[in-house]
Amino acid sequence: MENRRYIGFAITIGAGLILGLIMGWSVFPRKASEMPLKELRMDYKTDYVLMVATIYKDDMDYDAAVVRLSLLDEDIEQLLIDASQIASMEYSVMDSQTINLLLQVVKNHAGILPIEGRYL
Amino acid sequence: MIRESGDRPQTPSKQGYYYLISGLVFGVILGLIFSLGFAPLRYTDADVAMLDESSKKEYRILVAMTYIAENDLGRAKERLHLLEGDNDMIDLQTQAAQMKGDNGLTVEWQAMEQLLFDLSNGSIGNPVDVEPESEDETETVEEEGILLPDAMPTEAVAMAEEEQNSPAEKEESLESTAVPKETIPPKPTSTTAAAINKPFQLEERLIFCDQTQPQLLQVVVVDEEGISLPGVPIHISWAGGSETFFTGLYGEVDDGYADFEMQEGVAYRIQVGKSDTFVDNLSPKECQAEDGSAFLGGWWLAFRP
Repeated sequence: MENRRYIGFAITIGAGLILGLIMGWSVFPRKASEMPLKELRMDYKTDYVLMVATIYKDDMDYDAAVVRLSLLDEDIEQLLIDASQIASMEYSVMDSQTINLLLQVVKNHAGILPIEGRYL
Repeated sequence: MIRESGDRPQTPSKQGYYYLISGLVFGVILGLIFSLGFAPLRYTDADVAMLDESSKKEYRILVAMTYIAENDLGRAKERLHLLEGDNDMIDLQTQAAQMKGDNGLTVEWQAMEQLLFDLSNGSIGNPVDVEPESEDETETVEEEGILLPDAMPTEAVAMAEEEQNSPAEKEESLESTAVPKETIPPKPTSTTAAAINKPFQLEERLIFCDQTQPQLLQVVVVDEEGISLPGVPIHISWAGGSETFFTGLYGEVDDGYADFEMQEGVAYRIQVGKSDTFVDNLSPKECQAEDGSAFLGGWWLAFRP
């Protein structure tokens, strides 16, 4: 009799645990409002990268661009490649070129772009 | 059967029922603690609206700086709407005020202010890439006797000013060259967007020779009554670059005052507020110190609607 009560207690704990997990993950999940930039969807990341590239084209501040991109992904070059691919399909040619410009600069680790290359 | 007083009879079925309820409650509590505290649901592919506050601030800065760079107000609006705040303008204003308090004069803050200004006016306000329509604009300034020949030394400049100004204006003009701050009108009580949005015209232009402030382009903007206007955007451009700065960042000097450090050998063009008139060919001017040595001075410009 005593064993049956322990078993019953354990089963209800397990059932309660499952119920609690379902409630915590599905019914009342923690509000999705505290997300870092790294968790942005890729199309939003692409727009973010485009903004960074546009600012870079204007102020030529390579360090600032790298810092801003690193908020999105530690692998900046891969991030730019991915963004460039999306931009080539979904954005204007000008926007795509703007991202490619920053990609080339990052690839070359030049930091300073020749003045002739400022506006593609 | 003898029972002690106070004991309540409990059947085995009722005891089992309490164990089950307490076990279930205990399990639910454990599950909630785990699912909400230790292993909360992780979101990937988040929207911009889901970002934490620091990321949203970074995003707003980026939107503002991109707006300054590409001059696309519609695109800036769309990007701000992605944040899904209650009021984009209020959020922007709050952040700009915080940035001003924390860091003072920064490019980011200036960009935020410019974006705010243009959003509130519904217009594109960064005309740095706009070319003058004709040479007439510069000539208009010259006709007013304000534009001074580039090669004219300081003494000749002063003489030219004397010839052009009335006796009453002479003293003020010379004082302006030496101590421009004394000619600045009293501080305003407030500045409306309408006042800032007026087309400003160059009223006075002087070579400013001060060895402690070399190559400085100083701008003072006042309204019709001569009251200083803070928050007026001044767009400056040069070969290969452009920037926007604002009056009112040096409250200790004057609310309508702004300055910009020029580089030697670079010609600048500025436009104040929404004016259609540019002032061209602003570059550091050669001045002579008291000991006879030469140094590069700047300009002092006064604008009024």
